[in-house]
Amino acid sequence: MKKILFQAFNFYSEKRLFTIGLLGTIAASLLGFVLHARFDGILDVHFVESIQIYEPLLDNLINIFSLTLFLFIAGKIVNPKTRSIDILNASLIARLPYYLISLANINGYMADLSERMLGLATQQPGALQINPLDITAILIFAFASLLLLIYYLYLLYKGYQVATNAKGALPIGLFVIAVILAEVISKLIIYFIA
Amino acid sequence: MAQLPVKCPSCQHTLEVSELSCGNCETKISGIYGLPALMQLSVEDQEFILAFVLSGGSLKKMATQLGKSYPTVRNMLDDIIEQLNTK
Repeated sequence: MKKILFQAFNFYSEKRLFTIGLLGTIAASLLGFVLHARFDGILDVHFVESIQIYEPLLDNLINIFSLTLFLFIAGKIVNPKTRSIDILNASLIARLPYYLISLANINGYMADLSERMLGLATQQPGALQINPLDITAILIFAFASLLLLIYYLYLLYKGYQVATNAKGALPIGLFVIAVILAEVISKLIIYFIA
Repeated sequence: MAQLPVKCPSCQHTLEVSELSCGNCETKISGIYGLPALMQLSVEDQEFILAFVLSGGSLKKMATQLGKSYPTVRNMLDDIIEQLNTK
C-alpha cells in the first residue's frame, strides 16, 4: 500500500503509470461534469451552475499540459536525461487524488452553500448568520481540500524527483517556479479558450 | 565468504592492499596497492553493476528484473557513475 500511495514513481513502469493516469483523468473529468466542477487552473477547483461535458476534460488537459511543459523545462535544467513521459506521468498521477475535491458537490451541496453565503454576505452583511451544520461542512471541506492539495504537491514533487534524480536546493527552487508558472499559464489558457 | 572491507573501521579512510598470498604455494607479496575503483563501491552498488553487465547493459531489462521503474534504475546508475568519477 505504501508503494502505491507514496512511491508509485519508484516502482511502476511508465506504461502502467500512463494508463492509470489517463483513465483516471478521463473518469475524474466525467465526475467533474456530473458534479459541476471546473478545474480552472492547476491548483483550482470551482463549482459552477451550468457546465458542458467537455469542459472539465479540457480544463484537465490544459492543466496537465501546463504542468508537464514547465516541469519538463525545469527537469531538463536539473538533468538533461529527464524524459518527457516521466514528467507527464507525474502530472497525470499526482492530480488524481486532487480530483476527489469535486465529491464535495454531491447534490450541488457546496455550490449551493457558497451561493447562500455569498448572497447573505452581499445583501445583509450585518446579519450574516450561518447554520452550525454549514460551518462544520465548510471546515471539513477546507481541511480535506488542504490535505488533498498537500498530497497532490507531494506526489508531483516525488514524480519530478524520480524523473530528474533531483538533489539539493536548485531542483526544489525550479520545481516551485515551474508550478507557479504552470498555474498562471493554465488559468490564462482556460480563461481565454475554455 | 567474508565481505572484503574497503573502509578503515577506525578513521573511514579507503583501505589499501598491503599483502597478497598464493593459496597453493603460500608465496606472499608485500607492497601498497590501491583498491580498484569498482571495489571501493558498496556491496549493493557492486551487485547493481554486475546485474547491469549481465543484462547486457539494458536499463529496461534491469528495471523489470529489479521491479523498479526505469528512471529509478537510471538514477541508481547515475549515482554510481558520480561516485566513480570522484574516485
